[in-house]
Amino acid sequence: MKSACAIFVTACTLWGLSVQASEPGTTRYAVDLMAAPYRDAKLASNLSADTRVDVLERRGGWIKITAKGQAGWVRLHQVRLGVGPEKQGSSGLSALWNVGQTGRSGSQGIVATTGIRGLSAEELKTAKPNPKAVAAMDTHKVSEATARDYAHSAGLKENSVPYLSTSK
Amino acid sequence: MKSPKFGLLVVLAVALLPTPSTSLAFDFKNIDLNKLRDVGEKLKPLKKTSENDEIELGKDVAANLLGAAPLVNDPALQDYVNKVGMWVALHTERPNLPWHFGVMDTDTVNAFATPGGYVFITRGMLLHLRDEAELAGVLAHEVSHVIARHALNTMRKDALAGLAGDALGEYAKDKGGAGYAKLVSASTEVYSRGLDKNDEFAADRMGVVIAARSGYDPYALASVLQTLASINPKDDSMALMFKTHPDPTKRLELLMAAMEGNVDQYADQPKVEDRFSQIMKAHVSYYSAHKK
Repeated sequence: MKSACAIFVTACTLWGLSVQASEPGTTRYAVDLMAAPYRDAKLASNLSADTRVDVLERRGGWIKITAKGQAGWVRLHQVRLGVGPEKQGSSGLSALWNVGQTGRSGSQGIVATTGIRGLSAEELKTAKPNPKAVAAMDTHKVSEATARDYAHSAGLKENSVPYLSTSK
Repeated sequence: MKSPKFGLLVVLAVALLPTPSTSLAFDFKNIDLNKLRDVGEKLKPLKKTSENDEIELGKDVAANLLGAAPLVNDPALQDYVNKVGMWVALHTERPNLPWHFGVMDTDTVNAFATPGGYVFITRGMLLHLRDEAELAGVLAHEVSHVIARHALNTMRKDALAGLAGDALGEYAKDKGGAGYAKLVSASTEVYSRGLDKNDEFAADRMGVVIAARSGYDPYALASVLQTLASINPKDDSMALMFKTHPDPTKRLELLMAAMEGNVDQYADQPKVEDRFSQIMKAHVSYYSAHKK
Protein backbone atom coordinates (compact mmCIF):
# COMPACT_ATOMS: atom_id res chain seq x y z
CA MET A 1 0.00 0.00 0.00
CA LYS A 2 2.73 2.46 0.92
CA SER A 3 4.48 2.27 -2.42
CA ALA A 4 1.16 2.66 -4.21
CA CYS A 5 0.49 5.84 -2.30
CA ALA A 6 3.93 7.08 -3.19
CA ILE A 7 3.28 6.43 -6.86
CA PHE A 8 -0.03 8.17 -6.59
CA VAL A 9 1.41 11.25 -4.95
CA THR A 10 4.08 11.38 -7.62
CA ALA A 11 1.38 11.25 -10.27
CA CYS A 12 -0.50 14.09 -8.57
CA THR A 13 2.58 16.24 -8.34
CA LEU A 14 3.87 15.74 -11.82
CA TRP A 15 0.67 15.62 -13.82
CA GLY A 16 0.83 18.07 -16.69
CA LEU A 17 4.31 19.16 -15.77
CA SER A 18 5.76 17.89 -19.01
CA VAL A 19 3.13 16.15 -21.06
CA GLN A 20 5.23 16.75 -24.17
CA ALA A 21 8.21 14.88 -22.74
CA SER A 22 9.54 12.03 -24.81
CA GLU A 23 8.43 8.43 -24.44
CA PRO A 24 10.87 5.55 -24.92
CA GLY A 25 10.19 3.08 -27.68
CA THR A 26 11.75 0.41 -29.89
CA THR A 27 11.55 -0.03 -33.66
CA ARG A 28 9.45 -3.09 -34.51
CA TYR A 29 11.39 -3.71 -37.73
CA ALA A 30 13.86 -1.88 -39.99
CA VAL A 31 12.38 1.54 -40.77
CA ASP A 32 13.07 4.57 -42.97
CA LEU A 33 13.55 7.75 -40.99
CA MET A 34 11.92 10.59 -42.97
CA ALA A 35 12.96 14.25 -42.80
CA ALA A 36 9.31 15.39 -42.56
CA PRO A 37 5.98 13.73 -41.69
CA TYR A 38 5.05 12.97 -45.30
CA ARG A 39 5.24 9.91 -47.51
CA ASP A 40 7.28 11.70 -50.18
CA ALA A 41 9.55 13.51 -47.74
CA LYS A 42 13.32 13.22 -48.02
CA LEU A 43 14.80 10.11 -46.49
CA ALA A 44 16.83 11.20 -43.45
CA SER A 45 18.27 7.85 -42.47
CA ASN A 46 17.23 4.35 -41.61
CA LEU A 47 17.15 2.33 -38.43
CA SER A 48 17.45 -1.38 -37.95
CA ALA A 49 14.92 -3.49 -36.07
CA ASP A 50 14.91 -3.27 -32.26
CA THR A 51 16.61 0.12 -32.15
CA ARG A 52 15.93 1.98 -28.93
CA VAL A 53 14.31 5.35 -29.77
CA ASP A 54 12.68 8.31 -28.04
CA VAL A 55 9.31 9.50 -29.28
CA LEU A 56 9.33 13.32 -29.22
CA GLU A 57 6.15 14.33 -30.99
CA ARG A 58 2.97 12.96 -32.56
CA ARG A 59 1.45 14.42 -35.70
CA GLY A 60 -1.43 12.50 -37.21
CA GLY A 61 -0.16 9.05 -38.16
CA TRP A 62 3.48 10.13 -37.78
CA ILE A 63 5.76 10.25 -34.78
CA LYS A 64 9.01 12.17 -34.50
CA ILE A 65 11.74 10.06 -32.99
CA THR A 66 15.39 10.37 -32.13
CA ALA A 67 17.85 7.52 -32.11
CA LYS A 68 21.61 7.37 -32.18
CA GLY A 69 21.89 11.12 -32.55
CA GLN A 70 19.51 11.28 -35.51
CA ALA A 71 15.97 12.63 -35.64
CA GLY A 72 13.19 11.97 -38.11
CA TRP A 73 9.64 10.81 -38.68
CA VAL A 74 8.17 7.30 -38.91
CA ARG A 75 4.60 5.96 -39.02
CA LEU A 76 3.37 5.41 -35.48
CA HIS A 77 2.80 1.67 -35.80
CA GLN A 78 6.45 1.16 -36.72
CA VAL A 79 7.51 1.76 -33.13
CA ARG A 80 6.32 -0.09 -30.05
CA LEU A 81 6.35 1.93 -26.88
CA GLY A 82 8.52 0.68 -24.06
CA VAL A 83 11.90 -0.95 -24.09
CA GLY A 84 12.66 -4.60 -24.64
CA PRO A 85 11.53 -7.50 -26.78
CA GLU A 86 8.09 -7.67 -28.39
CA LYS A 87 5.24 -9.22 -26.40
CA GLN A 88 6.89 -8.48 -23.11
CA GLY A 89 5.18 -5.15 -22.76
CA SER A 90 6.09 -2.50 -20.27
CA SER A 91 7.52 -3.45 -16.93
CA GLY A 92 6.69 -1.84 -13.65
CA LEU A 93 9.73 0.33 -14.17
CA SER A 94 8.56 1.85 -17.40
CA ALA A 95 5.19 2.45 -15.75
CA LEU A 96 7.01 4.48 -13.15
CA TRP A 97 8.80 6.25 -15.94
CA ASN A 98 5.45 7.29 -17.36
CA VAL A 99 4.35 8.71 -14.06
CA GLY A 100 7.48 10.78 -13.70
CA GLN A 101 8.06 11.89 -17.26
CA THR A 102 4.73 12.37 -18.95
CA GLY A 103 2.30 12.88 -16.14
CA ARG A 104 0.42 9.81 -17.29
CA SER A 105 -0.39 7.73 -14.28
CA GLY A 106 1.03 4.38 -15.25
CA SER A 107 -1.88 2.86 -13.39
CA GLN A 108 -0.55 -0.60 -14.08
CA GLY A 109 2.13 0.17 -11.52
CA ILE A 110 -0.52 0.89 -8.94
CA VAL A 111 -2.39 -2.31 -9.71
CA ALA A 112 0.74 -4.36 -9.39
CA THR A 113 1.33 -3.19 -5.84
CA THR A 114 -2.13 -2.87 -4.33
CA GLY A 115 -4.81 -5.01 -5.89
CA ILE A 116 -7.18 -2.04 -5.98
CA ARG A 117 -10.51 -3.20 -7.29
CA GLY A 118 -10.27 -4.80 -10.71
CA LEU A 119 -12.91 -5.92 -13.15
CA SER A 120 -12.68 -9.55 -14.19
CA ALA A 121 -14.78 -11.79 -16.38
CA GLU A 122 -15.85 -13.61 -13.22
CA GLU A 123 -17.00 -10.37 -11.56
CA LEU A 124 -19.06 -9.52 -14.62
CA LYS A 125 -20.74 -12.92 -14.46
CA THR A 126 -21.66 -12.70 -10.80
CA ALA A 127 -22.48 -8.98 -10.65
CA LYS A 128 -25.68 -7.94 -8.88
CA PRO A 129 -27.52 -5.20 -10.77
CA ASN A 130 -27.11 -1.64 -9.54
CA PRO A 131 -30.04 0.29 -11.07
CA LYS A 132 -29.40 3.26 -8.77
CA ALA A 133 -26.01 3.83 -10.39
CA VAL A 134 -27.64 3.77 -13.82
CA ALA A 135 -30.21 6.34 -12.67
CA ALA A 136 -27.37 8.50 -11.32
CA MET A 137 -25.95 8.70 -14.84
CA ASP A 138 -29.00 10.78 -15.82
CA THR A 139 -27.69 13.64 -13.70
CA HIS A 140 -24.61 13.90 -15.93
CA LYS A 141 -26.38 13.55 -19.25
CA VAL A 142 -25.83 16.64 -21.39
CA SER A 143 -27.96 18.23 -24.11
CA GLU A 144 -26.89 18.54 -27.72
CA ALA A 145 -26.53 22.32 -27.26
CA THR A 146 -24.21 21.89 -24.26
CA ALA A 147 -22.07 19.39 -26.16
CA ARG A 148 -21.85 21.73 -29.16
CA ASP A 149 -20.85 24.75 -27.07
CA TYR A 150 -18.23 22.75 -25.24
CA ALA A 151 -16.76 21.39 -28.50
CA HIS A 152 -16.69 24.81 -30.15
CA SER A 153 -14.95 26.32 -27.14
CA ALA A 154 -12.04 23.97 -27.85
CA GLY A 155 -11.98 24.94 -31.53
CA LEU A 156 -13.45 21.67 -32.80
CA LYS A 157 -15.03 21.95 -36.23
CA GLU A 158 -17.38 19.40 -37.79
CA ASN A 159 -16.66 17.64 -41.07
CA SER A 160 -18.51 15.31 -43.33
CA VAL A 161 -16.35 12.20 -43.61
CA PRO A 162 -17.41 8.90 -45.24
CA TYR A 163 -16.72 5.60 -43.45
CA LEU A 164 -13.61 3.70 -44.50
CA SER A 165 -14.02 0.73 -46.78
CA THR A 166 -13.13 -2.73 -45.52
CA SER A 167 -11.33 -3.71 -48.70
CA LYS A 168 -8.03 -2.16 -47.64
CA MET B 1 -34.04 -29.06 -24.01
CA LYS B 2 -36.14 -26.12 -25.08
CA SER B 3 -34.20 -24.98 -28.13
CA PRO B 4 -34.87 -27.91 -30.48
CA LYS B 5 -38.56 -27.63 -29.67
CA PHE B 6 -38.45 -23.93 -30.39
CA GLY B 7 -36.65 -24.63 -33.63
CA LEU B 8 -39.34 -27.08 -34.63
CA LEU B 9 -42.07 -24.60 -33.76
CA VAL B 10 -40.42 -21.92 -35.86
CA VAL B 11 -40.41 -24.28 -38.81
CA LEU B 12 -44.03 -25.10 -38.11
CA ALA B 13 -44.98 -21.48 -37.75
CA VAL B 14 -43.28 -20.54 -40.98
CA ALA B 15 -44.83 -23.49 -42.79
CA LEU B 16 -48.30 -23.05 -41.40
CA LEU B 17 -49.09 -19.44 -40.75
CA PRO B 18 -48.75 -17.89 -44.20
CA THR B 19 -50.73 -20.56 -46.01
CA PRO B 20 -52.71 -22.61 -43.52
CA SER B 21 -55.32 -23.74 -46.03
CA THR B 22 -52.88 -25.30 -48.46
CA SER B 23 -51.26 -27.60 -45.97
CA LEU B 24 -53.03 -30.91 -46.09
CA ALA B 25 -50.30 -32.94 -44.49
CA PHE B 26 -51.05 -31.66 -41.00
CA ASP B 27 -53.71 -32.81 -38.69
CA PHE B 28 -55.25 -29.52 -37.63
CA LYS B 29 -57.23 -31.12 -34.85
CA ASN B 30 -54.05 -31.48 -32.82
CA ILE B 31 -52.44 -28.13 -33.54
CA ASP B 32 -53.65 -25.01 -31.82
CA LEU B 33 -53.11 -22.19 -34.29
CA ASN B 34 -53.48 -19.57 -31.58
CA LYS B 35 -50.65 -21.16 -29.70
CA LEU B 36 -48.49 -21.08 -32.79
CA ARG B 37 -49.27 -17.43 -33.31
CA ASP B 38 -48.27 -16.88 -29.68
CA VAL B 39 -44.92 -18.51 -30.32
CA GLY B 40 -44.44 -16.29 -33.35
CA GLU B 41 -45.04 -13.25 -31.15
CA LYS B 42 -42.61 -14.47 -28.54
CA LEU B 43 -39.92 -15.01 -31.12
CA LYS B 44 -40.25 -11.52 -32.52
CA PRO B 45 -37.41 -10.15 -30.38
CA LEU B 46 -35.15 -12.77 -31.90
CA LYS B 47 -35.73 -11.52 -35.40
CA LYS B 48 -35.78 -7.81 -34.81
CA THR B 49 -35.49 -5.89 -31.57
CA SER B 50 -37.36 -2.62 -31.45
CA GLU B 51 -35.36 0.44 -30.48
CA ASN B 52 -37.31 0.68 -27.24
CA ASP B 53 -36.49 -2.93 -26.34
CA GLU B 54 -32.87 -2.32 -27.30
CA ILE B 55 -32.69 0.69 -24.96
CA GLU B 56 -34.42 -1.13 -22.13
CA LEU B 57 -32.19 -4.19 -22.41
CA GLY B 58 -29.10 -1.97 -22.61
CA LYS B 59 -30.10 -0.06 -19.50
CA ASP B 60 -30.53 -3.28 -17.53
CA VAL B 61 -27.22 -4.67 -18.78
CA ALA B 62 -25.62 -1.35 -17.75
CA ALA B 63 -27.02 -1.92 -14.25
CA ASN B 64 -25.21 -5.26 -14.16
CA LEU B 65 -21.93 -3.74 -15.38
CA LEU B 66 -22.19 -1.08 -12.68
CA GLY B 67 -22.82 -3.86 -10.19
CA ALA B 68 -19.35 -5.18 -11.08
CA ALA B 69 -17.60 -1.79 -10.93
CA PRO B 70 -19.20 1.44 -9.67
CA LEU B 71 -18.98 4.90 -11.20
CA VAL B 72 -16.09 7.14 -10.18
CA ASN B 73 -17.26 9.58 -7.53
CA ASP B 74 -16.21 12.75 -9.35
CA PRO B 75 -19.14 14.72 -10.82
CA ALA B 76 -16.87 17.06 -12.80
CA LEU B 77 -15.14 14.13 -14.50
CA GLN B 78 -18.45 12.44 -15.31
CA ASP B 79 -19.77 15.71 -16.79
CA TYR B 80 -16.65 16.07 -18.91
CA VAL B 81 -16.89 12.58 -20.37
CA ASN B 82 -20.57 13.17 -21.15
CA LYS B 83 -19.82 16.42 -23.00
CA VAL B 84 -17.13 14.80 -25.14
CA GLY B 85 -19.16 11.62 -25.62
CA MET B 86 -22.35 13.41 -26.64
CA TRP B 87 -20.45 15.52 -29.15
CA VAL B 88 -18.99 12.36 -30.66
CA ALA B 89 -22.38 10.59 -30.72
CA LEU B 90 -23.94 13.53 -32.56
CA HIS B 91 -21.76 12.62 -35.54
CA THR B 92 -23.31 9.20 -36.08
CA GLU B 93 -26.44 7.84 -37.70
CA ARG B 94 -28.15 7.51 -34.31
CA PRO B 95 -27.69 10.93 -32.63
CA ASN B 96 -31.05 10.74 -30.87
CA LEU B 97 -30.44 7.63 -28.79
CA PRO B 98 -30.48 8.36 -25.03
CA TRP B 99 -26.68 8.53 -24.87
CA HIS B 100 -25.14 8.26 -21.40
CA PHE B 101 -21.41 8.14 -20.65
CA GLY B 102 -19.75 7.06 -17.44
CA VAL B 103 -16.30 6.50 -15.94
CA MET B 104 -16.06 3.26 -13.95
CA ASP B 105 -13.96 3.17 -10.81
CA THR B 106 -11.56 0.36 -11.60
CA ASP B 107 -7.90 0.16 -12.56
CA THR B 108 -8.80 -2.35 -15.23
CA VAL B 109 -8.03 -0.86 -18.66
CA ASN B 110 -11.16 -1.18 -20.78
CA ALA B 111 -14.28 0.42 -22.24
CA PHE B 112 -17.77 -0.96 -22.87
CA ALA B 113 -21.03 0.01 -24.49
CA THR B 114 -24.45 -1.54 -24.00
CA PRO B 115 -27.25 -1.48 -26.58
CA GLY B 116 -29.19 1.76 -26.75
CA GLY B 117 -26.32 4.04 -25.74
CA TYR B 118 -24.79 3.44 -22.30
CA VAL B 119 -21.05 3.89 -22.81
CA PHE B 120 -18.40 3.25 -20.16
CA ILE B 121 -14.69 3.91 -19.95
CA THR B 122 -12.70 2.68 -16.98
CA ARG B 123 -10.59 5.02 -14.88
CA GLY B 124 -7.64 2.75 -15.65
CA MET B 125 -8.08 3.46 -19.37
CA LEU B 126 -8.64 7.17 -18.86
CA LEU B 127 -5.40 7.51 -16.91
CA HIS B 128 -3.45 6.11 -19.86
CA LEU B 129 -4.71 8.70 -22.33
CA ARG B 130 -2.69 11.69 -23.52
CA ASP B 131 -5.39 14.10 -24.67
CA GLU B 132 -9.08 14.65 -25.39
CA ALA B 133 -8.74 13.36 -28.96
CA GLU B 134 -7.68 9.98 -27.52
CA LEU B 135 -10.70 10.02 -25.20
CA ALA B 136 -12.93 10.91 -28.15
CA GLY B 137 -11.35 8.07 -30.14
CA VAL B 138 -12.08 5.49 -27.44
CA LEU B 139 -15.65 6.77 -26.98
CA ALA B 140 -16.14 6.82 -30.78
CA HIS B 141 -15.05 3.15 -30.93
CA GLU B 142 -17.68 2.28 -28.29
CA VAL B 143 -20.35 4.47 -29.90
CA SER B 144 -19.66 2.58 -33.14
CA HIS B 145 -20.51 -0.73 -31.44
CA VAL B 146 -23.85 0.81 -30.40
CA ILE B 147 -24.82 2.28 -33.76
CA ALA B 148 -23.85 -0.95 -35.56
CA ARG B 149 -25.69 -3.00 -32.87
CA HIS B 150 -22.69 -5.30 -32.44
CA ALA B 151 -23.46 -6.29 -28.84
CA LEU B 152 -27.18 -6.56 -29.49
CA ASN B 153 -26.62 -8.88 -32.45
CA THR B 154 -24.23 -11.00 -30.38
CA MET B 155 -26.83 -11.25 -27.61
CA ARG B 156 -29.44 -12.27 -30.17
CA LYS B 157 -27.13 -14.88 -31.67
CA ASP B 158 -26.44 -16.28 -28.20
CA ALA B 159 -30.16 -16.43 -27.52
CA LEU B 160 -30.76 -18.27 -30.77
CA ALA B 161 -28.01 -20.70 -29.91
CA GLY B 162 -30.04 -21.65 -26.87
CA LEU B 163 -28.15 -19.87 -24.13
CA ALA B 164 -31.24 -17.87 -23.26
CA GLY B 165 -33.72 -19.48 -25.60
CA ASP B 166 -36.31 -20.07 -22.95
CA ALA B 167 -35.69 -16.64 -21.45
CA LEU B 168 -36.36 -14.97 -24.77
CA GLY B 169 -39.58 -16.89 -25.09
CA GLU B 170 -40.85 -15.01 -22.08
CA TYR B 171 -39.21 -11.75 -23.06
CA ALA B 172 -42.12 -10.24 -24.94
CA LYS B 173 -44.83 -11.07 -22.44
CA ASP B 174 -43.09 -10.56 -19.12
CA LYS B 175 -40.32 -8.00 -18.95
CA GLY B 176 -40.21 -7.98 -15.17
CA GLY B 177 -40.17 -11.77 -14.89
CA ALA B 178 -37.53 -14.38 -14.25
CA GLY B 179 -37.16 -15.09 -17.96
CA TYR B 180 -36.22 -11.51 -18.65
CA ALA B 181 -33.76 -11.47 -15.74
CA LYS B 182 -32.08 -14.49 -17.31
CA LEU B 183 -31.87 -12.70 -20.63
CA VAL B 184 -30.23 -9.67 -19.00
CA SER B 185 -27.69 -11.82 -17.22
CA ALA B 186 -26.92 -13.82 -20.37
CA SER B 187 -26.52 -10.54 -22.24
CA THR B 188 -24.13 -9.25 -19.58
CA GLU B 189 -21.96 -12.31 -20.20
CA VAL B 190 -21.23 -10.97 -23.66
CA TYR B 191 -18.93 -8.47 -21.90
CA SER B 192 -16.87 -11.21 -20.27
CA ARG B 193 -16.49 -13.13 -23.55
CA GLY B 194 -16.20 -10.23 -25.97
CA LEU B 195 -17.57 -9.51 -29.41
CA ASP B 196 -16.50 -11.02 -32.70
CA LYS B 197 -13.03 -9.75 -33.59
CA ASN B 198 -14.33 -8.38 -36.88
CA ASP B 199 -16.77 -6.21 -34.92
CA GLU B 200 -13.78 -4.79 -33.03
CA PHE B 201 -11.85 -4.05 -36.23
CA ALA B 202 -14.99 -2.46 -37.70
CA ALA B 203 -15.50 -0.28 -34.61
CA ASP B 204 -11.87 0.91 -34.90
CA ARG B 205 -12.43 1.92 -38.53
CA MET B 206 -15.75 3.62 -37.76
CA GLY B 207 -14.41 5.25 -34.61
CA VAL B 208 -11.62 7.15 -36.37
CA VAL B 209 -14.10 8.50 -38.92
CA ILE B 210 -16.54 9.62 -36.21
CA ALA B 211 -13.64 11.32 -34.39
CA ALA B 212 -12.63 13.07 -37.64
CA ARG B 213 -16.23 14.21 -38.18
CA SER B 214 -16.21 15.59 -34.64
CA GLY B 215 -13.15 17.69 -35.44
CA TYR B 216 -10.49 15.66 -33.59
CA ASP B 217 -7.24 14.21 -34.90
CA PRO B 218 -8.48 10.78 -36.05
CA TYR B 219 -5.10 9.16 -35.43
CA ALA B 220 -5.60 9.55 -31.68
CA LEU B 221 -7.31 6.13 -31.52
CA ALA B 222 -4.27 4.63 -33.24
CA SER B 223 -2.10 6.21 -30.54
CA VAL B 224 -4.29 4.59 -27.87
CA LEU B 225 -3.84 1.19 -29.53
CA GLN B 226 -0.08 1.81 -29.55
CA THR B 227 -0.28 2.55 -25.81
CA LEU B 228 -2.35 -0.60 -25.14
CA ALA B 229 0.20 -2.65 -27.06
CA SER B 230 2.89 -1.35 -24.71
CA ILE B 231 1.25 -2.63 -21.52
CA ASN B 232 2.36 -6.04 -20.36
CA PRO B 233 -0.43 -8.44 -21.38
CA LYS B 234 0.19 -10.34 -18.15
CA ASP B 235 -0.72 -7.28 -16.10
CA ASP B 236 -3.95 -7.81 -14.13
CA SER B 237 -5.38 -4.58 -15.44
CA MET B 238 -5.20 -5.93 -19.00
CA ALA B 239 -6.63 -9.43 -18.43
CA LEU B 240 -10.21 -8.68 -19.47
CA MET B 241 -9.14 -6.50 -22.42
CA PHE B 242 -6.90 -9.22 -23.84
CA LYS B 243 -9.54 -11.89 -23.24
CA THR B 244 -12.22 -9.91 -25.08
CA HIS B 245 -10.32 -8.05 -27.83
CA PRO B 246 -7.91 -8.91 -30.64
CA ASP B 247 -4.22 -8.12 -30.06
CA PRO B 248 -3.80 -4.31 -30.03
CA THR B 249 -0.78 -4.48 -32.34
CA LYS B 250 -2.88 -6.33 -34.92
CA ARG B 251 -5.68 -3.77 -34.48
CA LEU B 252 -3.19 -0.93 -34.92
CA GLU B 253 -1.77 -2.39 -38.13
CA LEU B 254 -5.19 -3.01 -39.69
CA LEU B 255 -6.41 0.44 -38.66
CA MET B 256 -3.35 2.24 -40.03
CA ALA B 257 -3.73 0.36 -43.33
CA ALA B 258 -7.41 1.29 -43.57
CA MET B 259 -6.70 4.96 -42.76
CA GLU B 260 -3.78 5.26 -45.17
CA GLY B 261 -4.49 8.05 -47.67
CA ASN B 262 -8.13 8.40 -46.59
CA VAL B 263 -8.16 10.74 -43.59
CA ASP B 264 -4.84 12.56 -43.88
CA GLN B 265 -6.57 15.91 -44.47
CA TYR B 266 -7.91 15.66 -40.88
CA ALA B 267 -4.64 14.63 -39.25
CA ASP B 268 -3.84 18.16 -38.09
CA GLN B 269 -7.17 18.61 -36.32
CA PRO B 270 -6.94 19.45 -32.59
CA LYS B 271 -5.96 16.94 -29.95
CA VAL B 272 -7.20 19.27 -27.17
CA GLU B 273 -4.38 18.51 -24.77
CA ASP B 274 -4.70 21.44 -22.37
CA ARG B 275 -8.33 20.97 -21.42
CA PHE B 276 -7.81 17.25 -20.95
CA SER B 277 -4.75 17.80 -18.82
CA GLN B 278 -6.55 20.33 -16.59
CA ILE B 279 -9.55 18.04 -16.09
CA MET B 280 -7.31 15.09 -15.26
CA LYS B 281 -5.20 17.11 -12.84
CA ALA B 282 -8.36 18.24 -11.04
CA HIS B 283 -9.64 14.67 -11.06
CA VAL B 284 -6.50 13.17 -9.57
CA SER B 285 -6.58 15.58 -6.62
CA TYR B 286 -10.36 15.25 -6.14
CA TYR B 287 -10.08 11.47 -6.27
CA SER B 288 -7.33 11.22 -3.69
CA ALA B 289 -9.14 13.70 -1.41
CA HIS B 290 -12.38 11.70 -1.54
CA LYS B 291 -10.90 8.24 -1.34
CA LYS B 292 -11.70 6.44 1.86
